[in-house]
Amino acid sequence: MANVATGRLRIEVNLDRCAGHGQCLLAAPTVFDVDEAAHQVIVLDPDPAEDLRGALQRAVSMCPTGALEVVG
Amino acid sequence: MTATIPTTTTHGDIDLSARSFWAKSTAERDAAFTVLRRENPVPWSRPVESDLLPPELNTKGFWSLTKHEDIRLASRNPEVFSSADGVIMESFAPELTELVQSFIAMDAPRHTQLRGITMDAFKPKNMRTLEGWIRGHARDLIDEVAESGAGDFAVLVSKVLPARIFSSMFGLPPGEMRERTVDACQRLLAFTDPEVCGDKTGLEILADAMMDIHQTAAEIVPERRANPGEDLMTWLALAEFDGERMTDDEIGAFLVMVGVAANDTTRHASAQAIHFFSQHPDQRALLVEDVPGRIDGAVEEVLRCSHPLNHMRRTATQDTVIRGQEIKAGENVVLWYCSGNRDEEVFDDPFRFDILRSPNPHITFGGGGPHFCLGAALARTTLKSLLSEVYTRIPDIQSSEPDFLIGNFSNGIKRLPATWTPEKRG
Repeated sequence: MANVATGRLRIEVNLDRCAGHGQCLLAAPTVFDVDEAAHQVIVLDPDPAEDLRGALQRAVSMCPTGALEVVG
Repeated sequence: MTATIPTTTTHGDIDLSARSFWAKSTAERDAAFTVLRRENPVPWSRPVESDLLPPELNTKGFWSLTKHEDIRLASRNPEVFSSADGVIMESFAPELTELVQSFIAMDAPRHTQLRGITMDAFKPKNMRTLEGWIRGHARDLIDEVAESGAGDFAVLVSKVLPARIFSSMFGLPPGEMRERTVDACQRLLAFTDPEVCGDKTGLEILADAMMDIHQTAAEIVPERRANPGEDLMTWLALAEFDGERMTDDEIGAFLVMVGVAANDTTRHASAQAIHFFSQHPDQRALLVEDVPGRIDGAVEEVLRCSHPLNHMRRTATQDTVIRGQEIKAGENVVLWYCSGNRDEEVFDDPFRFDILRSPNPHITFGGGGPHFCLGAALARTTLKSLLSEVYTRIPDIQSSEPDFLIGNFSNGIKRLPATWTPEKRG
């Protein structure tokens, strides 16, 4: 479990679950990317603005493996 | 979308195997699944009424999973819930499964290998690069219809956009072969619809469409091996596993599966979208007020409510228990996405079409696991592009009652007459 501090929001990525489907990239392209070699998500923006909350919540719902969580 | 739940209905009255059940209205079917979720969430059904197998071979009943949580559990446990015996509730003869279903009806490791061939093309990172190109296709298509002010949206737009994108990605040149292929991809899953079948049987409809697509593969593959291009047909023609190319039948089946998935899913979601927004002017007004800001949420809600595929099937590889119900090794298990997407335990007010819904963990692309829809990012990007064009340029588009496809698998719209204020060109 990787915890990334994001100011008021915290994104939790469960790398045991992430299968690199990458749907989160569509929801929040400035925050998520996929590591080509590892086929797993990487968090690009550790401190996204509050106005991305809706997009981040969509990324959580769109993840087919339930690997993402937004806390806070 | 609204559903009234008749208080007299009990789960014993609901027959998911009957053709007549799938000819009922969406509201009636939704109400039945609501009763099942509440009273009997893992019901057993008799063999589905089907003409794909002779009656003496169509002897297997099936379990149904109607709860969101159970569908996700089964989707994520492919060792217990196998895809190798086919993934639609109507069983095919095994030789037909091999010619039609390709890697969607396989387990690891072969599934992983075959899916891997085109995975790079569909990955979300590529879709970000392709977004402008897809938006261009959507813009061109709306250019073609916006000035007329009226037409059948399902035929003029919904069918056409995915077909152009698919044909371009697979390198099918304009002409007779492309038209035949796309038509077959759009026809194959309609084998359950009496109007589409006419005087043919469902099996004939399916087999004819399958053969048309195999014919395309047979024509193109040798040509691409001689003159490789940048398209996905070239990838298929040249793909090797352990030094061996795929057989002609394997490539044909791959094209059938991916071609149908590309041409007969997003198509229905986009027609359903116009239908939903026509029925819910408040939601249309919300979207039109801020298309760039609300389109992503709108696409997710359209996907939840439209679920172009009602179900996928699995086969238990071992005895197992779901929600207290024992399931034996070898038994069929049908995962009802149409029901999971309306599960009251997951979605507040599940029959409300609400583009601001959050969270919206719908399972339209499957419940996760290795068979999660390969084209999900393409579908999302295509819907976003098309609906952005529509609700920016012809925002008052209003459809009348759709003609729905009849069937247990594809949740389709055949015709959707619509009118809109013609776009004025400067």
